[in-house]
Parts: sequence; structure tokens; C-alpha cells
Amino acid sequence: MGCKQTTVLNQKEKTQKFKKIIQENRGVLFKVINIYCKDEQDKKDLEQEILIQLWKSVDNYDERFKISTWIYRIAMNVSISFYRKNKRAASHVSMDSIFMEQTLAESEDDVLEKWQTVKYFLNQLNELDKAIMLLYLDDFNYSDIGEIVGISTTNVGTKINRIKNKLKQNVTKWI
Amino acid sequence: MDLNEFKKMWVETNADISNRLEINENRLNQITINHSKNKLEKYMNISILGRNLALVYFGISIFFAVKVFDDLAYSVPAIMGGLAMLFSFFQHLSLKKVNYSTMNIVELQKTIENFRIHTLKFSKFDKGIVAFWIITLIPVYLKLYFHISIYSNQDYLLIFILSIVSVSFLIRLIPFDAYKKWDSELKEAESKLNELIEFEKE
Repeated sequence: MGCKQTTVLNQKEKTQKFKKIIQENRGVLFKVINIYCKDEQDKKDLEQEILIQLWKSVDNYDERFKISTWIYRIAMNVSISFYRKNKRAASHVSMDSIFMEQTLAESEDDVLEKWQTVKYFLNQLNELDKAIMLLYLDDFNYSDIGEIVGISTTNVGTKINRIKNKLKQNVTKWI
Repeated sequence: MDLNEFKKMWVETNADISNRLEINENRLNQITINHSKNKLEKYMNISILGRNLALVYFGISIFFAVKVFDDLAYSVPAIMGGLAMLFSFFQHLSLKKVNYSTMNIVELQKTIENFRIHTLKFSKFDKGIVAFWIITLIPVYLKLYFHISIYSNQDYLLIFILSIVSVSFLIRLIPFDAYKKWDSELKEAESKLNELIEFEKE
């Protein structure tokens, strides 16, 4: 009986910890999902898969490491796996999203335009370059990016330079 | 626009996104209540279970072979069926589970593509092993539990052979292009794995 009670408490603690993590990192999740998926139903499927994975991994989270590194690693690992499945296995079961987005006021049109521009440029990249760019834009250093992606620090530098050039070319074309 | 301007734009939109987002607590509660697994994990777990079951099938074959050990016409095929299962087990020993929280992106994607290549390559082969295993076990089973000695009775032997031929023929008749599908999926997985290797090298 005592044992059962401990399990219930642990479950409660886990739930609270999980909710806190999601609440504090909602922006990261929203960005990753929106950068890797265009279709609304796919976004919900991906969101569900990321949340399941985060929930399962909460127990093993090592608090010595940055939470954002952990979240990014899981979210991008799931997103790229999902992306590579070519949407074939998407469930298309109707469900709600965990995100409730407040609509923008007319005065905030500028923000929406910026977000669309950022998405447009990131969508020109392949799924692995997208991951590097997301981490770079969120101020991760080259060593952390290399560790999350699985390439050397030098390689990260080379790839970021290439992406920079691609960005310049795209802007020229766009303008 | 250079990368720095792009980054500035990103930081501005970031702050805005977090402010505008609220979390749907009910939906989050559902996730914590349902102990669901994602699709890839389900698929991988089934494959790993299948691999471990091959070891059980090996045990079943050996058990039956021991029961009819002196009758070589029955025991030798049963042992061969068991060895085929054991071989299949070792062929799939390299299958490992993915871990989204500890593996880096390239490592995880390589594991997934290797898994796809492995299962696709061996899918035809595995079906053959299962069929062979069943064929080697049926005569022993009939002999032990129904006292029907297929190899000593021409009629039984003929029925047994005809049943195998008919089933094989029926399987051939089913109009599905599973093999073509497997081959194209295999090529796709191999090309994705090559992409990852190239990405690591560049």
C-alpha cells in the first residue's frame, strides 16, 4: 500500500514537472513544430509525438544540462524523424492542439510579417540545416550545436557560412 | 539582409510568440494520462519482439526434435528449422531501440535509416524462414499428437506436399506488389542514409 502511494506521488511530481517544462518552453516547441510542418493536421500529429517523447523522457532529464538543449534535442529528433516519414504514417486523427494562440492586433501586423519571412527563409533549407539554423538563431554556441546535431564544431562553422551565403543569394533573388 | 539582421528579426518574433501563446491544460493532461508510444517506437518494438520470438521458435523446434530424436526423417528437418530461426535471431541482433533524448540528430537518423534498411532487406528472407520452420514442424506435430506419420504413408505425404504447393501458389496469386514496394522503400532508405553520411563529411 505504501509503495502504491509513493508511485502516485511520483506521478504527480512528474506531471507537475512536465507541465512546468512545457509552459516555460512553449515558444521552442511552437517554433520547431511550425518550422518543420506546414500542414495544420501534420502540426498536430508532430506536436503529439514530441509531447509523448518529452513526457517519457522527463524522468531521465539530467538537471546539470540546460533544459533548452534537452528540449531542442528531443523536439528536433522527433521532427526530423517525422519529416523523413514523408507524411505517409500521419494519423490524421482529429485532436486539439496544446497551443492556444492569441490573435494579433492590427498594429502587430509587422510581427506576423517578420515571422512569415523567417519561416520562408528557413523553409529553403534541408531538415538538418534547418536544425543548425534554429540552434544558431537561438544563441547556442558552435560546440552545443555540434553536440546536438552530431557533427564537429568546425563542421558547424562551415555549414553556417554556407547557410549565410544561401541566405544572401535568396534575398537577392527575392528582392 | 545578412544573417545578423535575420537573427535580430528572429529574436523579436520569439519574444512575441511566447507572449501570445497559452497552453491548453486539458490537452496536456490527456498526454500525461495516455501512456502512448509513437509509431516508430511501436514498429521497432514489434521487430525486436519478433527477433526475440525467433529464439523461442528455436527452442520449440529443439523440443520437438528431441521428442522424435531417433526418427531422423522428422528430427533432422525440425533441427534445421530451429537452426534457421536461430540464424534469423542473430541476423537481427543489431536492431537497437532509438532514444530521442540521448542520441544526437545524425546518430538517431542513421539508426532509423539502418533499421529501415535492415527490416526491408530481411523481410522476404524472414517470411521464407517462417514458412520453412512451419513446414519442418508440421510432420513432427502430426506424428506426436495425432499419430499421423506423414513420411511412412504415401497418401499423407502427397496431401502434405500438395497443401504446401497450393498455399505457395495461392500466395503467388494474390495481386500485391509488396516486393516492388519493399525495393523502392529500401532504395529510398539507402539514399537517405547516404545523405546523412555526406552531411557528416561535408
